[in-house]
Amino acid sequence: MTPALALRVSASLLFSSFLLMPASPLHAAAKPPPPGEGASSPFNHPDDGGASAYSGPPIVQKESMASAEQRERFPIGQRSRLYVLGGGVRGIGMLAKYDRKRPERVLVARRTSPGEHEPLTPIALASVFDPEGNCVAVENFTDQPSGVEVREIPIPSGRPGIWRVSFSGGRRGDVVEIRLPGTSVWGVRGEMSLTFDGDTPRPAYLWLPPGGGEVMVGLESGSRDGVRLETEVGNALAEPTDDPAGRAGRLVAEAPGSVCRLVTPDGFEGAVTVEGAPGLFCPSAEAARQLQGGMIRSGERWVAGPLQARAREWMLANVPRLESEPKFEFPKQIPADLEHPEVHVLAFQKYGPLNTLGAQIRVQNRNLDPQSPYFCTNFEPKEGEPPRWVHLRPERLAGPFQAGDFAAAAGFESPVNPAFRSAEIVRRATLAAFAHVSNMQGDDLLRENDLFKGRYPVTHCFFIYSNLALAYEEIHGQLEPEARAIWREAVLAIGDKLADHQAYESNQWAHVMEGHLYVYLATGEARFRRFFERTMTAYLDNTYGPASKFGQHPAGYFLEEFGPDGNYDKLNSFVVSAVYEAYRAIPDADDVLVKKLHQAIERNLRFTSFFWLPQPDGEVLSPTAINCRTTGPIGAPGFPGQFLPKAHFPLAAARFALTPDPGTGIGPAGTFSFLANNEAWIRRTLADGLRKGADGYSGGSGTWLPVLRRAYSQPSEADPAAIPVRESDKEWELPGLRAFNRGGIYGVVFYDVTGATQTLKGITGGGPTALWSPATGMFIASMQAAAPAESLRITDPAALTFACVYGKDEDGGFFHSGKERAEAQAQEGGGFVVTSRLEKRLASLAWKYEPGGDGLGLAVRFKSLKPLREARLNLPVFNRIPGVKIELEKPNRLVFRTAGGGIAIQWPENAPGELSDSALPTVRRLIIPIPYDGSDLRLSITPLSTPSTTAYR
Amino acid sequence: MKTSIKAAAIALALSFPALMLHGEQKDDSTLLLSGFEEPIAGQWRSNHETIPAFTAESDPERVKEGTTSGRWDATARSNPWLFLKETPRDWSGYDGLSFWLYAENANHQLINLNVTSGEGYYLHQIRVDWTGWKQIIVALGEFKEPRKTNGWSEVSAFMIALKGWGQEEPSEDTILFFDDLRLIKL
Repeated sequence: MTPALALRVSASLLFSSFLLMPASPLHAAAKPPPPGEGASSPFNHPDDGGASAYSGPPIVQKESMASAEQRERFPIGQRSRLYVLGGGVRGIGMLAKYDRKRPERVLVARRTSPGEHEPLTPIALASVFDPEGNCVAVENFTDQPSGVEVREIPIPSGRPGIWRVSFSGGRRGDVVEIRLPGTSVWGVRGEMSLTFDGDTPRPAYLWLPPGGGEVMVGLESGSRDGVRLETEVGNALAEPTDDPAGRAGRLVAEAPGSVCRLVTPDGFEGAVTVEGAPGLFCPSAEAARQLQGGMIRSGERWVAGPLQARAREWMLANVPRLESEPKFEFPKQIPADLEHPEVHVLAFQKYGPLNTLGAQIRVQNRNLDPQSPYFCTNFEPKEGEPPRWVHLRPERLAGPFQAGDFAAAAGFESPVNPAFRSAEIVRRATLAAFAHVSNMQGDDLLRENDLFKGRYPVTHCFFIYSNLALAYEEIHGQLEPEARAIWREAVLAIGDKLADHQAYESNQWAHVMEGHLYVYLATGEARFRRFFERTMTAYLDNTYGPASKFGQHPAGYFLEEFGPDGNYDKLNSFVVSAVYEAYRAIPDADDVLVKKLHQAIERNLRFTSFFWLPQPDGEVLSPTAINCRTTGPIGAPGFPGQFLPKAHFPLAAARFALTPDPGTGIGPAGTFSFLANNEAWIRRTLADGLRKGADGYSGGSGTWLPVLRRAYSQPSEADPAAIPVRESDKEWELPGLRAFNRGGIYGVVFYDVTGATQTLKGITGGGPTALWSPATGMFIASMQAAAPAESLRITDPAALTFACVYGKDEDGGFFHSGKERAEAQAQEGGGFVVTSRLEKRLASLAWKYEPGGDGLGLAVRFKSLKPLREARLNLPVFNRIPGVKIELEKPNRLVFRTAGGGIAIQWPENAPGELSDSALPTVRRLIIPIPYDGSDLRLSITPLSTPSTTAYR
Repeated sequence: MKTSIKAAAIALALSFPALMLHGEQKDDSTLLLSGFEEPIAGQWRSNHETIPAFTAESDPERVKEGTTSGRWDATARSNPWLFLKETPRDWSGYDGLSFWLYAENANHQLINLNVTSGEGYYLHQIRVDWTGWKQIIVALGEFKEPRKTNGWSEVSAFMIALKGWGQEEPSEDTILFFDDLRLIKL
């Protein structure tokens, strides 16, 4: 892969992964349901329910939890058991109309039972919203001291109209009761699933918006018997049918602009989810008509609630105020008195917002039709695929970073930034943000995913939330009052709904936490700081354990799909470093959490430093075989998680210093300006950025600028530490990892995700993950040939782009190692051995590393109890360094030569090797026959010359 | 593209793995379950009191180890349900099961290896598609678990079934010789 391609791949993963993900967040819809869930489980994996999935014993609550006196004051009551959908989506809500005066109080009660093995307490909130969509009261049930809590919530202000009470969060199976003052116009809804109770309206009237398409009532649980959809007057609309998404059944009808009714027998206690309509179940057709599911007509479109309508109306009013081609005059040269150019340069180049401003404006200009689902977004429809509304939402998700891109430009105070405090750019940022707000669901979920096809209502809301929050924090002081009020209410509402949402992988959870912290910093709402502190502590403590998808593994990497991942580790470390700087600046920050964050950064840098492998041309590359989700190399630039903490952490300072100055031109700083690490390079990059102006790039982003600015503005306290490839005569050990630097060869062996219980998508087992020498750079590189999940079903030896043993059994069946759980043991006198078993093959494998002397001794011992037709050792020879020569000098000697030196690999004569191409152009395969009777195949790996130690600095 | 290493050299190199598994396993790393030696009725029973599980075969061509093997013959109406009389309870210290099987005909007869544990059982199926001797080695991890067991440490029975799980009746021309059944470990 060329350097440019590597950067493109990295950048593409950076900003488009959310678009590339398939509908199932786990990419594995066929997994069996977890124990106890039965066939109707909505989860691909139990953790997909978040903390709420670890509930206690079943709760029985057939009567109201309110007293008789309370029931008299709050005669409208609904009780429902929480049903959790994928992503931990759960809650119930009520809407009620009061024509004469606002309600002064509402009542919310919850009965709960903590699970015995609950990793962390689920956050549980009751929120009250006024007719304008403002949250006027929040009651926190998270740590309720008793099993049953009944609370009256006073409402301080508000006018008559439609009020909403929402209960969000809590444990699966909790029974929640909402009671309201008397009115005949009310309704209850699942947010998003509603479990029917004795008090649920039967029949329940449901308003279907005009212009909608099919509506589905999905039976998440319960019997289909006697359940049907009818018209308002009782004509048949739909009977339950089988549900391809795995529910107990579903009812599908199409009757837009009408009221229908869901008929359920008295004993029905199932949970229902509604797609294609607001899903508000009312006691009468008239109530349904008056409440309209909470929807509001705004600018010829129906939106899901009052805050959404305010956002849309602001958009409609402000689009005409946009300039179609705003001009930004950049200084012709760097001002002579410019201080800290290392900070100002961050706003430029492909992933700085200023050089991409023109492109951002142009793409938004193409989306200014108010009837388009992508109104004011940066969405670019594919050729032949016109924009479509599907189930009242845009068919596709608009980009989550657009508001942040504009906000970063408008918020970056600099004499070289003509967009600073630009009303035009602030307006565009607000429009981009409100594109998400106006399409928000009535229960404040940033919806995507078609529930006709699956059972996960949201996937990428974590990106949208964190970016809306960061952008709001950056420019809220520049917003007009109504825009500020809407944006503030939106991030509060989204954040409350997502309070303990952890999505499906560590980085996604981390983004939610990051959002909470920015919301706190921007709004001062203390509960968001508590959300952040509570969940960040759980994440850093690896509360779910190493056999999970959530948190930091004891070895230092962040768990992504149950193991490390080169690409997503950088998103995790980015968030951790970002919040470390932001959180510790809070005067009364919790010292314990600050210390945890500090340690987490340190541990992550230590782990990743073993994979920082500078090549002869200075580029930092890494093996990718450890990856469990993507093919992104962990040491290559991308999200700047390893760079942000350079002021305080010696290893981060070392990583920052590692990128070589191209000498002429700006090199990789043209993509990531944060790479420029000396004054001359920084000034060249900045001058180049000024010359390029607003139209420097047709694509890119810059949403992370506020985070980079905060980090790169810190006074430097740390000198670069020695990184493992530059520390001779040492060996290192982390859980699941060994490394050494002796005899002129550096090696790293990632052999196991210690503590894991799942089948891993990364490569383990004990073969060399990478071998490197100063003269040659990486010469053995275990890589993922394709998406890591593909490594579970390799049938072609060409896909063996990692160190392993492979062969054919007696019947001709193909096998290979590399997916085993392994253990390492130190050897007396240095070195270590990694042992593993290929359980189903009745085989054992040992990789013995003997570094020192004049190179590395590697003994591979393979023993198979089953007769085999053949067995081979497979070593991935790295074939990417320009000018490298790889040849078999003899059948038992391979030589790897670069301009600076070489490496010889030698083995016994009676095992003639061959060199073969692989599925990757960057890897050639050295294949050597290996005995399978348990005797050693010994290789000696020797540097051919010792170049200057300064040659590649 | 492969470099010019001669195929003959590769073939020569590949021949060096030592195929001595059978002889090497007779140490602490194995546990003999049945040598199919006389009295064979002391080791095996069928599910019918009057029909023996195996008959002892002493033809040297049909004996792999010791002096006899266990003959199972559909033409002689052998009973298809064959139970090991004394099954060790704890198999968890072993990694696999090994035995030799001589087939007179490659007739695709199914052989079900059934290990009972708790209320459930493990199952592995072998289809006879060879003639003559073949060593069968099955990793315990290769067994399926059609019904939830108590694990390999609570084994209560071992059965070889020539019927069931896809084999309605034994093929009429099935004649098999079993020998040297062992638990093995790496």
